[in-house]
Amino acid sequence: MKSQIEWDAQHQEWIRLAQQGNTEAITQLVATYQQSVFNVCYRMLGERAEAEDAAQETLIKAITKLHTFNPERPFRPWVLRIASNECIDRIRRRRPSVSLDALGENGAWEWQPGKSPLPEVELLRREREAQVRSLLQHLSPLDRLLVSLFYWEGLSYAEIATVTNLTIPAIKSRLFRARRTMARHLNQEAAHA
Amino acid sequence: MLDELKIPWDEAQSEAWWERAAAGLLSPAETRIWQAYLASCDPCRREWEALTSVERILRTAPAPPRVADDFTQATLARWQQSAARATVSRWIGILFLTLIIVVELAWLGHTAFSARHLLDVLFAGRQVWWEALTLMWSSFLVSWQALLPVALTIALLAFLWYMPNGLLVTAGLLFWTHHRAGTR
Repeated sequence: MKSQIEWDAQHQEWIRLAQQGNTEAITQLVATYQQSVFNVCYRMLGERAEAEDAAQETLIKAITKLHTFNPERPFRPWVLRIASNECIDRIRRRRPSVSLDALGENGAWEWQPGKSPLPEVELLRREREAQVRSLLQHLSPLDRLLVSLFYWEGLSYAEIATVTNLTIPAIKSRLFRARRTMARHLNQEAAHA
Repeated sequence: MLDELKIPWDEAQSEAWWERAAAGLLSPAETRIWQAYLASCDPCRREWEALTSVERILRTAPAPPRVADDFTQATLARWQQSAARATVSRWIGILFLTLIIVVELAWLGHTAFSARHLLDVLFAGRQVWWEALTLMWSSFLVSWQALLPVALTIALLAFLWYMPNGLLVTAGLLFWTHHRAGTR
């Protein structure tokens, strides 16, 4: 098991080599950050296929612009910034349409043996997932990004500031307002139920 | 109860209080005030409970699905395709630009050539005209002796032809002048 210092050194080496066009180093960087990028895209876009497409587009942009990256700065906020721009652009380009969220991720859900431990567990997971998606739907793209980076990507306020270009007090304030917005919608849903 | 505790309503309702309470930054005394505030306000308490639920939902949200096993390879393949397309586009751009420059230069060259050709023609024409004129005058000068009687005869004939009355008047005047001179 590599220590953090060794991992950081290895990571810096990958970035250096990738900036020189080394395919192996580029592969390592893509493999390291693809899940994180996909997670942010998935939370922001709410749909797996589009999130995968956006994540791939983000990683391609990151590789193409790698020569502009300053290796002395952290890589993850840099790549997540590209991801957030990509997702916000996609949300803006979307035409108003009927939300398909209520149908689930891919329309009708079918349990597949071997992929899920138990249908009940999978069903519960999907319900909770749908609840999260439903709450996020009420937020602006930027607030969705903030919530995603803070709660699920575990970024610090300083790192979120790097990704979003917001000040730390602004991030805290927006995060709280986002939670309050979601809380009000949760209350409304409970009242309707 | 709030009045008994002297809680400022506006302050308790302010966003700063909510933020600090949500972040767990209230002191024990402030926590008591906050709890009293929530106890006295049903909508606020419901919102606070919903806020706590949201916090729990977000903290315990299931992780997004894992990316497909071939995601890395698919991404790299797409990147290489994109890079190849970018290279082709770049070369097409370079060729197009080169073509434009070549056409532009050819047009400029042709125009310059045409202009020079026109000037050459003009200069050559002037030279031919000048040479012909010079040659004609040279011929006149060289053959002056031979041409003079012919020219004078032609002039006299023309004068006689066109000016008969003038000749008569001139002859009359000459006669009258000599006659007056004889009578004096």
